[in-house]
Amino acid sequence: MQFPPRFEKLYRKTKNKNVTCRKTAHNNVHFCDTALPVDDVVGFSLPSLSVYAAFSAGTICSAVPVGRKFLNTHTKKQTDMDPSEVEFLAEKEMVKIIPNFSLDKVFLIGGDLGPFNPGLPIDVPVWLALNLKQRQKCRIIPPEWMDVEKLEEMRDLERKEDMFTPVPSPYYMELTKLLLNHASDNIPKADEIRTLVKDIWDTRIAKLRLSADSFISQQEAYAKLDNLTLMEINTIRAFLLDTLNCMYKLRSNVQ
Amino acid sequence: MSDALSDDGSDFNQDDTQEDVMTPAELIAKLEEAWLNEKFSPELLENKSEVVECVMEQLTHMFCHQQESNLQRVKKGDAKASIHRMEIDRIRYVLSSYLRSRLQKIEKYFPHVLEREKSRGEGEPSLLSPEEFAFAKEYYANTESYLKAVALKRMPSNLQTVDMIKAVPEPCLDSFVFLRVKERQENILVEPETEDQREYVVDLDEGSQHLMRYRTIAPLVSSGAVQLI
Repeated sequence: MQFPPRFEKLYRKTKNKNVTCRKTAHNNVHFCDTALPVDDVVGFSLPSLSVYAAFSAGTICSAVPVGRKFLNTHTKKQTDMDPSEVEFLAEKEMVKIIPNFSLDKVFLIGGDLGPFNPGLPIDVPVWLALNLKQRQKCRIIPPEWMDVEKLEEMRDLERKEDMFTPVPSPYYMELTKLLLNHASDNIPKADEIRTLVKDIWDTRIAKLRLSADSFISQQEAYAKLDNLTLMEINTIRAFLLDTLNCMYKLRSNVQ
Repeated sequence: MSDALSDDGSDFNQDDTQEDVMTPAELIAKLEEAWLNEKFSPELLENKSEVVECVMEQLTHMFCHQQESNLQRVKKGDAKASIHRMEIDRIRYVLSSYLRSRLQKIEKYFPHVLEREKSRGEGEPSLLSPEEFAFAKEYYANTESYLKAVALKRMPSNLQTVDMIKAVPEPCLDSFVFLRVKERQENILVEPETEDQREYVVDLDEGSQHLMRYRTIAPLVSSGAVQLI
């Protein structure tokens, strides 16, 4: 379908993304069987063709592509942590590798890495292990907890308990993602492990949502969150802290 | 204080056996703690200039060392050089992120930062490094002259001044933060949210994580007893 250039760009940007629209004229316009009140700023997924149709009909006066990237750069505050920064911290964890080259001791600022001998296992930080693996210079040995039976036990325990159970590793989510993406050939039953870790993650996030909800509704001032990993805290950080600060400001202005 | 942190860059080849000198690994750990604390705290924290200087020293040392060994050995140096370079890049990222978040806070709260710096006592550690202080003052002067040129000089003469301290919002110390406890703390007061709740005290155990207001634990952050996460 040929679009005028102005809408071509909008169409490309908003394909399969959320589009915020402000309506102008008619009382009701039906977009995909949803009626919108006038002068509302609404955001929901419209197929871009309908947006174009609405533009030409004059029923919406502006459409702003609100793709994920757009939202993030607009609202990123300085107290936010990017998931890639959490991954950065997770990459400092040590993992065992078996190099296929030899190198004498490397004296890094953060510590010494022992002599590399082909065939002998050695502990290195994850960032180095991944780089060596990508250059096909080593084989990564999965950490002890990355085992199907252990993860199954943990998943069942997590589902039974109401509180958060101790995690296999403070960075289990990032390590699973990194190691399975780059070294799945070195890890037995990689797909099952991926599913199990995802189940554990989903259960914990559900619990986190419930407890955040009760924290806010009961207007608590303090919470203990042992056994929560940084990645889980980070998913809820922006929303929760903003909400709490906002509520505090509203409350303190009333009193 | 300065000799406890004096780090001879050439020591990175062997472990430090003296107890009062920090090893480079500890230095990097301190930098990362400072980075996380600065990122998550609502106000500008104390300046950790010794840590920054020592890390810069280590980085330049390592970088020069790598340049030398690259000229001498080509093949083996390659593998080692790339490992060193990756580590240098990682540390440089943490360092620049730390300095960047400090600058953002200085820009956001500049009158209050300058006020705090002016009114601090003699023996207290400084809030801003000399460069940051110069930056804050310049920013203040630039903002004033900008406001004057754009709007103020066209106002009636009795309204031509702007009190920056009142005009710029203060950092909200009552924001909530996540923290991890490094040293056990007792009897931390938790203030009530609503009128029908009463204040109570909690003990913070080592290694535990909590969510509470920044104001009550602010002194613990500066002393290093808790870590913001």
